[in-house]
Order: sequence, then C-alpha cells, then structure tokens
Amino acid sequence: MKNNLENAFRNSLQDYEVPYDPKAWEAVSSKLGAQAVTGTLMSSVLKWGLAAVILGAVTTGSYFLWFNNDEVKISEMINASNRDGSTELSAEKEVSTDPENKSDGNIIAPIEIEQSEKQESDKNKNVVLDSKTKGNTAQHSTQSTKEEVKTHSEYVAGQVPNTPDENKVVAEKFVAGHVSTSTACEGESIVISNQDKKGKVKFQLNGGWIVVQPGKSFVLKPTSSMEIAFVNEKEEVIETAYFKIQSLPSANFNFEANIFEEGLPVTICEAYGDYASYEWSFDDELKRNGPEVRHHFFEKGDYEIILKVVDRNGCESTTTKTVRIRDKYNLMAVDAFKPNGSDSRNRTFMPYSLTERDVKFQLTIVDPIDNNIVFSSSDANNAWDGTDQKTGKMTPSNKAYMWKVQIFNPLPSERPIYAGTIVHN
Amino acid sequence: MKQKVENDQLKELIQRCVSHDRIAQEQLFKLFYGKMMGVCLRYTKDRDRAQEVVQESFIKIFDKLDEFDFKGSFEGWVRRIMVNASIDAIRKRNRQPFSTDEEYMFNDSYSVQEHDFDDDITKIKAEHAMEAIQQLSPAYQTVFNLYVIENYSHKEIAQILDINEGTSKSNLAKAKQNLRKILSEKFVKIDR
Repeated sequence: MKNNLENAFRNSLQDYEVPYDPKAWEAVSSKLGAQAVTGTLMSSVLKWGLAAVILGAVTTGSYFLWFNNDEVKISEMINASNRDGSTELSAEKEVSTDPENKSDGNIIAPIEIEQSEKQESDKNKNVVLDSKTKGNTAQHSTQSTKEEVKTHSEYVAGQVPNTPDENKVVAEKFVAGHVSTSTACEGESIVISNQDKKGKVKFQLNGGWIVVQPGKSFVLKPTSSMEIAFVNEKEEVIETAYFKIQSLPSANFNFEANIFEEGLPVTICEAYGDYASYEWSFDDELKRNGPEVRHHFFEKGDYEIILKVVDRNGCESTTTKTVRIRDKYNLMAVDAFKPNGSDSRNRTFMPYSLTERDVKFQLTIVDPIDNNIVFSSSDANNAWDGTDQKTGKMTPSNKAYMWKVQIFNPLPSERPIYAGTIVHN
Repeated sequence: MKQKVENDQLKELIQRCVSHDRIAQEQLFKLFYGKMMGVCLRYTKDRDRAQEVVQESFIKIFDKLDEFDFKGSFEGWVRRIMVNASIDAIRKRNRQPFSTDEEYMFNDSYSVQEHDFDDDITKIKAEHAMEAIQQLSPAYQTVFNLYVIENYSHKEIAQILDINEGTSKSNLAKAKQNLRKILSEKFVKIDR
C-alpha cells in the first residue's frame, strides 16, 4: 500500500538515534530534584556533588597540572582517549619509551607532555633564553632552519653514515615543531605537531618544558599573541614561532518586520559594521548573504534570524535575534467590497498582492452552500465584480463567499494555496 | 531469549525508577534519549525545542511510571508520550497549526492531484530524511510523521489532530510532494 517514498523515509528514520548528551540529563535531574523523596535526594546530591568535585579535580589536575598561568590554556589534547598516557610526567619515560613508541605505529598518538628533571636547574638558562635580543634569535632561527633541513634529508633519504650511531648513543635529538597556523582568531586552537620521525620537539610554555614526541601533537589555545621558542638538546633556541591572535568581531544587526513591499511581507535586516562577509539564516532555513537582506516570512510566529559575520582576518562572530511576525500572510486580501460603492477601488475583489506581484495564479470564488464556482480568473486585472460568471447576474449580497488562490510559481517556503472569505453588499 | 533477559532488566530498571532511584532514572533516560530525540526532531526543526520536549516528557514518564502495566512495549509507550508531547508543543506555538483554513473549505473539491508515479526514491540517508522532514510546515510534517513513521491511520490522525480525514489525506499528499521537491533540489547531487 505504501509507496517507495514512504518506505524510504520510514526505514531511515524509524530507528534514528541522536548521540547521547549528558547535559540533557542535568535539566531533568534538577527538575526531578524538586519532586524527589528527601532521602534519595540527599544521597544522590551527595553522590553527584562528589562526582562533580572529583571530575573537576581530575580535569583541572591533568590539564593544568603544572601550568599555572592564565596566558595560555592547554585546552584539548589530540586524541583525548589516550589521555592517561598523554599527561604522564616522567623524565625517564621520555628517554626510554621513545623508540618503542615509534615501533607501535601510533601515528596520531596523543601528545606527551613531560616534565624534565632538568627543569629546575635549567631555569636560569630559560631566563637567559627569553631575554635574548632579537638579533640573537634571528641568528638562531637561521641556524635552526639549516639544522632542520639537514635532519629531514637525513631521514628521508635514508643515507647518512652517522644516523644509526646517533640513534643508539644519543637518545635525544630535538627539532623544531610544525605550527598549524601563525595567525588565529581568539578561541581557536593552534596545533604544534612533531612531524619528524625521530627527533623530539621541545619548547617552553609558562615556565614549564613541553616535549612532543615524534608523530604527536600539542594543542594550545592562546588568548593573546605570543611567541614560542623551540630548543635543541642543549636547550638552545633553534627556531621561534610567533602566533598572532586576532580579536573577534562582534556581529550585530537591526531589523524591521511586519511591513510589505510589492505585495509581499518583508523583514529587512541590516548589519552594523564593515566585514568581509555576512551570512544570514532565517528560521534555520534560508541563507542569504550581504550586509542588508530582505526575507519573506509568510506565517505568523516567532522566528530566529542568525547573522554570522567574518571579518577581514577570517575571524567570525554570530548573533541571533527573534522576530515576531504578527499575522499570517494571506495575499493582503480584503474581506468585503461594494460593487455599487462610490470608491472605484473598492468595487471589485482581487487580493491586493496579486496585483502587485508577478505571479501565475488561479483565483476561484465559490458559493459555500452548493460549492458552485461563481467566478474564476488568472489575471490580476480581471477582478470579481460580484456577478456569477455563468449567469451574468449579481450574486446575493451580504453572504460570505469563499475565495481560493492557487499560486503556480510560489516563492521558496511560500505555500501555494491561499484562501479566505469575501462578502459584498 | 535475549529479548526476555533484556525485558527483565528493563523491568527491574523501571521498578527502581518507580522508587525514585536517581541512578536508575538516569540510566533509563540514557537508554531512550537518542531514539526519543530522533522522534521529537521529526516534529520540529529546532534541536533545543526537541530536547525540551524529551526532557519534559521524561519528567512526566517518571511521574507516571507506576501506571505502566508491562503489557505492551515500554518503548512504544515512551514513544507515544513523546509524539503526543511533540504535538502539544506545536499546538502551544501556533493557533490551529494542523488545519490551514483553505484545506477546511476545499478539501474534497480541490484535492491536490497526487501523481502516484512510483517514486524512484528508495533509500535516503537518515540525516537527509530528517532535514527534509524538518523543512515541512507543521501541518504537513505532523501528518506525514504520524501516518508514515508512527503508522497511524488517517482516521486516527484526524482524531488526534482534530482535523477531518480529508485534510489528513491531502496534507499527506502535499507533504510527500514537498518532500520529493526538497529531496530533488537538495540532495540528489549528494546521493548520486
């Protein structure tokens, strides 16, 4: 009985599931809280409270264990599933697990943050490094580029006489990290990855050393522009990377609704500010671009208008406003006319919008008593004057007739059929 | 046999919920959240609204859980509550959302001609199907959902939505027409 389309929809949606969202439970839980029996309430509150505390402690503990600075927040780590391994703080591990890690083939393995034993003793050196003059840094970076190139060619080409020796004897070799981007918007992540096969990447962040193992990455979310210096095994700077953090734009707009233009209901939206691009979304449906846009809402109700702007740095911002459409659009039709009245504009009936809009339509007037069609027209200039088209006689007055308009080329999201009642005297 | 075990586990879980065991309640919520979001999303295009309906319904479900007699399917029972709550939510937002006046007056003499060509659409990705359904107006969307996915008859739909059977039929036809249009405009390129 049911056709293909119905079956296709039923099959794909009958068991459709959305991934679980633990936050969804919180609202239910808090509402239930008000109703719950005191005993269970107390115990569960305790349980959940404790759980929250522990969770909080674990999270902050592992994320901010040794960065106590606001400037840089280590927000996420690539491949969080392996988080346990990723936050291990052991200097021994750094040396010993290195070759094993490679053989495991963990190509997109979690980052490894390691607190070097040297940290304490190196502090003085760090200070020195940080305060180095620009000239010095430049020198270092050129030096490092050479070094990096050399390292790469060594491993890629696979020749190189002294590589095996180096591997066995010197366990540690450091290269500069690869930086995903040098400019980012506020709130965006920057990934520092180690694309080398053997060498590690080491740099200082907020007074602590971070070591990224080969093939792994480190993610940071800087809140302001900053510089990172990669160092070699002697903790000499081999390359520096500067991140420019762009501040976000703030999208905002003004709108005017419940007005009509050329027979259509329009909502006019105008964005404030000068941006590279503007994208509007009306009620999750239609997207429009440009600083000033017009949209037709045909139905009564509250709708969301979302504006997304992207500034010239590529940073984006979004804002949402709700517009209330007071009336359902019904072609701006009147509900009464006077065939013998003095005002010529009011002697015939034709929904006003049809005279303004360029649409193909069919207007039908029906007598509700016998369903008899008394008039039909597909020309906006041919309006109903109250006579029955078949007999040519005036229809009885003070009686409600029904009109229906079928639009053959409706606008997107416009319904194709309109209807209403009309009375004449 | 497996079904039986699962049923017993579910029964036990439900009984624990009846005695206000918060852990059990969360488990039950977790068990049905995904599917019920899937149900409610079909009745609104707004994820937050769907989630609100799911949440409020669960509060109702926990409240009325002792009335469940284990005779029918529990999931079916939950699903019906979700569907009814979704319809109520649409009612709250719009006045007379299920019957646009034109259909009231013209439902028989001007029924939409449905070309019952056997659709060449036989398989749709769930995400696409969902997106397409969400674009329908509430009147079409609700009838389509109730008839096609919830398997109600036009007579039952007419009662639930307080419309007449003709309107239900014509809304279904129009819903399908619109869906074909949406699918052909939006997804054909992706699917092929």
